[in-house]
Amino acid sequence: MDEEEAVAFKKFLDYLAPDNEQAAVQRYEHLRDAAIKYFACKYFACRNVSDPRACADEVLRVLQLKIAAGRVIEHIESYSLRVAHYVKLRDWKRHQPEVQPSESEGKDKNPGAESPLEILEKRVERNRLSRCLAKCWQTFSDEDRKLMERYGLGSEHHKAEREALAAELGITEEYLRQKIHRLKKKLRACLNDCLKKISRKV
Amino acid sequence: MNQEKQDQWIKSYLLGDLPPHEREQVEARYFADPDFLERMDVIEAELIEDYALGALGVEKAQKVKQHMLNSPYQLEKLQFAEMLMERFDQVETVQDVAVEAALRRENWVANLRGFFSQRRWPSFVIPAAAAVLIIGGLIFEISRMRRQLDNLRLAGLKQQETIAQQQKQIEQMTGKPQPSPEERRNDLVKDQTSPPPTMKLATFLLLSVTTREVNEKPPDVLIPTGAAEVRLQLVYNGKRYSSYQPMLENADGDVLLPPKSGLKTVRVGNQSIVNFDVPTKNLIENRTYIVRLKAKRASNYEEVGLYDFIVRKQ
Repeated sequence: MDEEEAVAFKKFLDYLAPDNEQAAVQRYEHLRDAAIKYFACKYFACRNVSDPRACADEVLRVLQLKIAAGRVIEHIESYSLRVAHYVKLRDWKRHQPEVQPSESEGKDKNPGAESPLEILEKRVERNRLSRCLAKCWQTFSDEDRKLMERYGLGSEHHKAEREALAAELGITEEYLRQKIHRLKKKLRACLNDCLKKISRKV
Repeated sequence: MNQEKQDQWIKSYLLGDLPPHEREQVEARYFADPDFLERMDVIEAELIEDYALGALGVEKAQKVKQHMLNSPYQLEKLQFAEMLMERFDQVETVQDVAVEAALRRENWVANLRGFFSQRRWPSFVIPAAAAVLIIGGLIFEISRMRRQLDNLRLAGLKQQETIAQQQKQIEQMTGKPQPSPEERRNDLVKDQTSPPPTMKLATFLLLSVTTREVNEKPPDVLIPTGAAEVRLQLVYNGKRYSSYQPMLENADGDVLLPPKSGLKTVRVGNQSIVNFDVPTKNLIENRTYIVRLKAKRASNYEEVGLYDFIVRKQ
């Protein structure tokens, strides 16, 4: 980040929540998450060619530039949505030829065929994932690990077990659902960090 | 809007079922409201987990694939769900085995204690009885294994004779020499050493033959054109084991794929399923195939389920 960008970022945080850095960062994170969600859904996506995270960062970059240039934005959330829409259109135009192959091109390509190298890469990737998951799993307390295991996966499974679990903990099932989601989110974040570290080493 | 309706609204958005104006409403809402966005995250994660578990209907699963798993970023979420699924299944299996072992140990010790506590024995009797039991058990086990080995040898010889007779008959009828069983096996292995295709386009749920009526024919497995692999989901509701090994055979009893060991069950509702991926090149149209599901018991695999199906191609 160069000096100009750093100043723009600081101004943006001030704009989001003056004199309260923590609140500003929270609001910033929310805007980023919302933009990621926007780009991750197919009909608004960057048409499979860009990473939704990169698209979301582009939205935030545009917002920072606008604020730094003295633009007064009354409602930053709805303005962010408009910027996201604009970034999507721009990105879509840029990548349009790549993502809309003609029918004959589509038939020639065999998306299921993988080279031995690709298969090997996938295995290596899976191995890395397993290692990272085992490592991250250990960073959770025994209590949290058991909670995740007992809760299980999916929306409809283990209903009785989940009811019993919520009763044991003295919380509502809805709160338990949210708690589990936050634990899994934390686990995923740990997994992503671990994978980044490994790929940096490689 | 109550919670349930809101969840349904979010689901419809994620599955691409909402009209444009409602999609815009959802977007405006999640940009403005962090709690709503978190709710979306929860529902999205559950849908992807349900997809990984195979717990969605065909239509919904297709929508998830089409609308929610269309970028590497989204596929990372699916991969995460699959890894958790494996992890939880492993944990459960290990716990099951540990509980069973503990129960067995408890029963055995309790029985033994009960037997010996009923009367007073001279001190040498217990070790002597134990030695007799162990030696007797060993002798019995060795003779049982010998008998089993003899039977197997006999069966093998008979099978070889039958194959030789059939080969002669074919040679007489066609006038062409036939490949030996050894050569045929080598051909099969040669086929299977090429890299496996990974495009899974077709999934079929198979129930054990024991759940079918006597005169009912095996189910059809309809393979779409271009599918490189079919995933057979073997429904298994018996006792749980740490690892499974499905074997694909043709109606003649020839094993068509090298055995895949170490497979785990996946829970779907109250059912347990073993996923078995079969390259379509091993399946010929209108033929009947058999899958023998074996489970690891101590160091051996024992048959725990039998499934059959007829291949149809589109």
